Amino acid sequence: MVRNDPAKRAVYVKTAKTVLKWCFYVVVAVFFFFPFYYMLTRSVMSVKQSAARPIVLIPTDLTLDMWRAVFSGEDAYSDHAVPYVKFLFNTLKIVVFNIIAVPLSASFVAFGFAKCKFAGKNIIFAVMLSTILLPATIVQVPLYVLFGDLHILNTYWPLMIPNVFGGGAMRIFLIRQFMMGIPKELDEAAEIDGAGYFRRYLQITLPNCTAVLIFIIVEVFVANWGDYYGPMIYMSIAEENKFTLAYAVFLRFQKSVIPRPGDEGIRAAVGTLMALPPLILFFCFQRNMVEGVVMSGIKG
Amino acid sequence: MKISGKTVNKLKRNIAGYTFMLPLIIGVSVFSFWPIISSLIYSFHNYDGFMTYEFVGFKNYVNLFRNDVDGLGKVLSNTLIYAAVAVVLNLSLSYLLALSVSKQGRGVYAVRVLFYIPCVIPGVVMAAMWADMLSENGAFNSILTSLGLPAFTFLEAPETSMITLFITNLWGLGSGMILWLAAFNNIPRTMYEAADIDGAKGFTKFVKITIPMTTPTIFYNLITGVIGALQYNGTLMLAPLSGRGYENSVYFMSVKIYRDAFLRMKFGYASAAAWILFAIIGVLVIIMFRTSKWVFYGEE
Repeated sequence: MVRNDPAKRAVYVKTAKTVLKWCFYVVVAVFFFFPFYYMLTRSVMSVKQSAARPIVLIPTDLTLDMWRAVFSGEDAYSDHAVPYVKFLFNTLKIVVFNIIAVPLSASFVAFGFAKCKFAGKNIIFAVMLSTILLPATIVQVPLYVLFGDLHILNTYWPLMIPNVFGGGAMRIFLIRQFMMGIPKELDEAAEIDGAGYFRRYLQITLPNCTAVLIFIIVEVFVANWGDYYGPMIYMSIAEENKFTLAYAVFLRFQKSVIPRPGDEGIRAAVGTLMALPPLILFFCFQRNMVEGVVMSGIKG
Repeated sequence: MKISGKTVNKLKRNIAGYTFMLPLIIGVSVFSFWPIISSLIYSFHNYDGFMTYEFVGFKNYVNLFRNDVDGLGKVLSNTLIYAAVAVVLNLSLSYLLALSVSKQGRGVYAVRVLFYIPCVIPGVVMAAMWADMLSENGAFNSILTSLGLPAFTFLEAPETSMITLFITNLWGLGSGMILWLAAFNNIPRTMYEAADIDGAKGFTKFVKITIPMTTPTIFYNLITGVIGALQYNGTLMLAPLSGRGYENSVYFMSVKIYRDAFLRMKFGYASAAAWILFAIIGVLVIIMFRTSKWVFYGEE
């Protein structure tokens, strides 16, 4: 009977579609959320419970031992103390420098592209864009040699100096696109009032770019906060107390290190600790990150 | 008078423009172009970063192809296979993901935010968690066995390593999604309205409007995706045997270059390997640009 009733059939098809759609969403959500859930629960489980098989999904034997170990640096499961909090502050030094340096230098260059007229601008712009295509892999050995010649290996400078000089083509490009959208009249009015280029950059254009600058700041924070590769190359023989958090976590938990009992919990606790700052920042500024206003400049 | 005044103005403008370009010009020269040239020069030398520096002609290149300790052929084919599959998989799935959340609305917005979260979590943290969950005795195998399913080897066997990487990397689809959403935003609503008047169905609108109008972003994502995937080094944290995987099953060029340069201290040899990778990237980028007739930049 159902078969002969098109209206009813349509209802069934629609229900089936909705059910399928939600099944799909649930599978995707589990795939995306299980790792977080796993990390969070492991960080508050006793060693015994997190080592239990089959695995315990809902923690019952709650403990803050792992968190205590992370904050005190007495990582009982490592062969020596690991001062995670110290590492966290080391990372912060680099991150704070970069989240100031990158937006400033990138917007400075972007202003030149967006608001100044000068000979050869298009060529410089094209050359800048072409650096997006250059593989990072190829520059790392010469940069290591360069920083060695400058005697700044095993310091934080290699992780900061390049950011003073524009902070990357993509970022300059994004800010430039955003600046092009700012009404010309603002700039022209200031010019008539006798404001020079530098004042117009600082007082007219920059305050109108907060949306894209926040995007850049969050993005630079995330990139530098989690960077283990830079420190691994440029700080490989630094004293241990200079390590950054990401590099320390990499050394302690990379796959080739033989796991000890209790590792799971420490790894989860320090992982949660490391995930929190970028997450908080992201949630504060999610509109800037996700709405795509900033990205709408990209047209190939 | 008039002419000289104009000239002075023009000169002033040029000087202002170049002042704004200064950081970029220094940055690109010192941190992009100089390293690329140095790297090419190193590739013809036997160079350990300290004392030894002697010209050896094409010996590094010959050795790479003839008697490389890691087997360059295996590493190259791994890299190419990984890049081909990862780019297609990530681009198409993130496109579909973006489509499914492209409508306006509060629920949809929340879903976007949730999908983007993995992109702000540090890679080291997530790699440590994945490595933990994917291990022989880890969470996933525990769940599989308690469901009565056979255990899976994931990264613990050469046959399943590559596919495990593809699946775990889907976790970062959110970053691609944002770019697609921005591209969808740029499509004028009037196009869809006109299509509605003509009685076009959803699928027709997708094929005739959405896809053509987003080709510039597809092209951009394809190029940056290929460049990024060919340099993928996430296995450093995730895969066993210091990022090579069992039987070198997931040993990629970037990891090899890192190991040659910074663990074996063979700077010249690593530079030659980097140039081989660079050449491959260059050829692919040129091919993509040459065959980019399908990209639609709008009516000029």
